[in-house]
Amino acid sequence: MPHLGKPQFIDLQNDVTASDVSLAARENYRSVEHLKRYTTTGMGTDQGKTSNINALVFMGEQTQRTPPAVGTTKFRPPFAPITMGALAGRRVGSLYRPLKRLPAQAWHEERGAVFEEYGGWRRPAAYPRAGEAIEAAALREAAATRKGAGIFDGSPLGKLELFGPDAARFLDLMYVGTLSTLAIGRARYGLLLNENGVLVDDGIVARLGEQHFWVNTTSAGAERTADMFEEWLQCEFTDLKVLVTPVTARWANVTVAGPRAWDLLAAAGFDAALAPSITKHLSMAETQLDGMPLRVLRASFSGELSYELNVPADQAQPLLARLWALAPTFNVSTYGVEALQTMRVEKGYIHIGTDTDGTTQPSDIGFGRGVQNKTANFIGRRSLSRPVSCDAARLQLVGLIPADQRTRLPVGAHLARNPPPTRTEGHVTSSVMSPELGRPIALAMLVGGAARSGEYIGVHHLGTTIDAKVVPLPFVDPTGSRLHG
Amino acid sequence: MAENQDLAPIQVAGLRVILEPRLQVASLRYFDRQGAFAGLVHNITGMRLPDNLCALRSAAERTWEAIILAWRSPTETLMISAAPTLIETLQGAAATLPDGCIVDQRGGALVFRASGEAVADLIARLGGHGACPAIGESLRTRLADVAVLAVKVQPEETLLIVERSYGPHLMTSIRVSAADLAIPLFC
Repeated sequence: MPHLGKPQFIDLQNDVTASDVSLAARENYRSVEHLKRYTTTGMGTDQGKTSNINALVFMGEQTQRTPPAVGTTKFRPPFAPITMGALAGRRVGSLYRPLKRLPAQAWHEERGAVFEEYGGWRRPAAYPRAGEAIEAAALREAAATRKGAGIFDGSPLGKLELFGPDAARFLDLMYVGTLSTLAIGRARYGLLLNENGVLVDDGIVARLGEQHFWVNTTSAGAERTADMFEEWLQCEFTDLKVLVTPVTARWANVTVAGPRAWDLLAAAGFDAALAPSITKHLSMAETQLDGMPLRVLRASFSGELSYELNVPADQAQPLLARLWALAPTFNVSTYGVEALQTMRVEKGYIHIGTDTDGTTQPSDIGFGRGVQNKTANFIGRRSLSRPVSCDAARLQLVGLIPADQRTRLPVGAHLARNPPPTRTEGHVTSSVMSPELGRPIALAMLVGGAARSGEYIGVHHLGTTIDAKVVPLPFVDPTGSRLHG
Repeated sequence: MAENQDLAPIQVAGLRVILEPRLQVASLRYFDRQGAFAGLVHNITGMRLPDNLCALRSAAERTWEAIILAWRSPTETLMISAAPTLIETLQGAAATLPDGCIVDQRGGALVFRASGEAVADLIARLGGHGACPAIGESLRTRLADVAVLAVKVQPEETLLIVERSYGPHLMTSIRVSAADLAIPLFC
């Protein structure tokens, strides 16, 4: 091959040149397998279909061998060209990947729901009226829920049942909070960390019996959390007797939230013992409604008085119909995931994976005291004592309000006092228009954010800057009085 | 009802797949296959917990009256039955036992009955190579990318047990694959 004084490419995918092959020969990489590994020729996505012959023949020239004497590398399938369609098979269209379906999907369709995928489930994003955009529908639904009552399908919420003499001890090891002290019928919010102290899931844990717990996980984290529990039980805590059984599909979750939530349920015939004055926030009661088994959890992701009605999946549709029949009387609205997102941002409630990332620890979202108060060990505890975990300049959750009170803060926008180019001090994680406050609000992770309330900061996005004020959370109902009805 | 349309029976030459709504599923969970909980299951159903990868069927005149116990893991057996009060009876009796429990999965787990000479072909086409159970076997597999327990306790049929939320996806995939059954598999 004549020397042209510029690169002569043999492998166009991995930029291997004739001089690379010559160098391999001079370095005595005679085996074709060594030639491949030394130069990376043939390692591109075409697996050498366009480069191998060039490389082998040239290697033969460099080492005075015929191409058959040089040989070929071990071929991997497909040995012959194959269409992408053949590889995809039937995984196209609606079968591209399995999406989970709500047990009451038909009921939502009849209400005009617009479905989107959230965490592997097809869920109602909102229930827009004719000509109404999804965002406008979400604002209307959130406002209606805060004023009267809203019905939400929370069936995808992950659900696990834990049983066994060591279930309480196991949960203490898994969660940041102490769950072994829960009284039967009571519930508590828990944060789940990995060994690095990073938040991987959250949810409510309720005690149904001395050895029997109900664990809610995030909707997208149900399988992941069950697998995590099993891994720890089978690989580390092998002396603990605990059985973990996923029941997400068994129990549908119909959530009724809003100041008139109990009025609606009472009119629908629910047990009077579920009244908010008796069944308090963060309680769980097992009861029935005309023979329909119910596990009623008093917990709230909207910040309102809220009942999570867990019913057998095949009873979800009849229950929704029963409640909806009373909708006109109690000013009830359906609400979808977008309205729920709006309300949870107003309350400053995090969404794992949206407001957190692979570095977020409990103290970053205001749960440092929970860690300090717990004396027992738990997964991730050691990592929380590292210097980097105790650094005051960590990214911490804050609220942001645009200085002009009207410009939405883009999710992902960088925060910095000075205009770019400068070092970022954080980013916006969630941003909504608040129907309650009548202005945009946002959650953000900000360096040392916990100590920066009242400060103004620039929100930089695609060449524009919006001034915003750092504010404490929550935006709405800071005393939490609405939770109790 | 979108779900009901997707779950409608499938009938083609050599294959019939139907949802069996009468069959109810419960998870029997235990620490010890020989313990008190296993004894209770034996007393009430007349059956011992199955060995690994095995499935058992009680004697019954009519198919749907039988109780099926299908191994799912070393600490879990699925109980499949149409008996109306069996789950409650077992739950009540096991309430005070320390070594096991019954987790009601009614409405959460769907049971499909697949029959015909093309069942093995169908399972292979859905990605479950090696997961077509022989009589008396209970095999965990993934069909059409979802977790399925394939159980065979009678020669003429295979039960496919799947999480309710994935039921429409599985049946749609079966419906599409059933149309291909006349085309020989490359193997």
